[in-house]
Amino acid sequence: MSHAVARQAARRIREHCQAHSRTEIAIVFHGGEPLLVGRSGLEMLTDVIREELINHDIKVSVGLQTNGVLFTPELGDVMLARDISLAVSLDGPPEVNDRYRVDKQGRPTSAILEEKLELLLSPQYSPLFRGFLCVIDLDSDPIAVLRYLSSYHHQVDFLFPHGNYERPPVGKEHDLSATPYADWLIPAFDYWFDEIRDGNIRLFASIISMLLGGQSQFEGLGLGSVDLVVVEANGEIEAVDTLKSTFPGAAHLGFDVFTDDFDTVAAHPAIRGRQVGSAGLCATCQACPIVRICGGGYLPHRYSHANQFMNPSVYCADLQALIAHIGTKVKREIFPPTLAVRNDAGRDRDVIILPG
Amino acid sequence: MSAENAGATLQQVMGQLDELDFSDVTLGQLGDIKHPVLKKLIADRVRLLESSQHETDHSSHFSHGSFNSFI
Repeated sequence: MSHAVARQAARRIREHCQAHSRTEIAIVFHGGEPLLVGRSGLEMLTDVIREELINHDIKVSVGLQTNGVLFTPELGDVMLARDISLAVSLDGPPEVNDRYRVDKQGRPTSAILEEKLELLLSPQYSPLFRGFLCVIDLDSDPIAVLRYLSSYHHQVDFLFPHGNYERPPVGKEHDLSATPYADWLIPAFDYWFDEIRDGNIRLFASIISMLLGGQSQFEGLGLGSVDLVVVEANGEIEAVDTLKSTFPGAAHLGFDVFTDDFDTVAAHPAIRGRQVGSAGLCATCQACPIVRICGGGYLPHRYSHANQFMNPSVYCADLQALIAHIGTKVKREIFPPTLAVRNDAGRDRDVIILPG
Repeated sequence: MSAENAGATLQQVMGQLDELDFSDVTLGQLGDIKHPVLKKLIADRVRLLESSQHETDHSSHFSHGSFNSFI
């Protein structure tokens, strides 16, 4: 991203914050690989953020999503000095991660990544680290993956691989009612819930939180308003970039930081449709009892040529099975066999909870 | 678990969890819940409820027509 684009984007963000009385926002550098900008690039971007936002009383949480292999002490020092946090994409132990995460020559990256993680998790740089993004690989052992990631004692995000009705995910090519991803996630949940009993696996924690009436921490779950927008390196403003997994141009909105403000972008139907709760979902999802938890699933996973995004998630069956399992476990844990609660008349009555 | 079984279990679970009313739960009562993850998540939920009872303007929790995260 050039200095001119960064400056204009930051000015647009400031204008938007001031118009909506926002005093705290998040800016995340994604890629590609954002560490390719190097030290000078990080310094330029954070200089602009300080001058255009922080100096105008807007608190900015700056983060970066990386594959980690380019992390160096030099970059770490810049990130410490400029309060940039970092999350690493890692799919599990080396034998799992190296199946898909390879360099341009097709060589595995785990060995170098483990060296970088050792550096990143050293006392000097560990304040930078926020956790892992892990894409589910059905061929891996979920408990081994979670045990490995948990050994670093940081937040873990499990992500479903991108798929939709035109390109069903691996394991669901012939039967969308199959639940291979729930079958992978449920043992991972049980290991976390029964054995680890600590830490933040955001997919699981969000489901529990919403079962209890709270909110999701996850863009792909719940009915909360989706409030993120993407600024490309050339200044184009787009919808969430994972939409590119559906069809060419799916993320394109036709806006640019030099010609459009973020209020104009926010009024676009593709943005508004993700800020209206269940009203933005298909009739099947609106009528479903778990819609307040799954939120219809992640937007790109709902796509079909025929109905666009007005479908249940291609992972609907997996989400149902996973949520049912987690709900059952939570219920057993929260409700003892008999629980005295006050009824409307103020008298106690016993509620017997059925075995789940 | 088949999708059919999951659906049936889900209906049962949701019905039971919907009966849980956190408006009566206080932080002090959380001592009865032993699981550390649940204890934390319920505490977060109770705090959210308590804070919302003292707020009249909830605009900070919602973002209709605006953005909070820039990528």
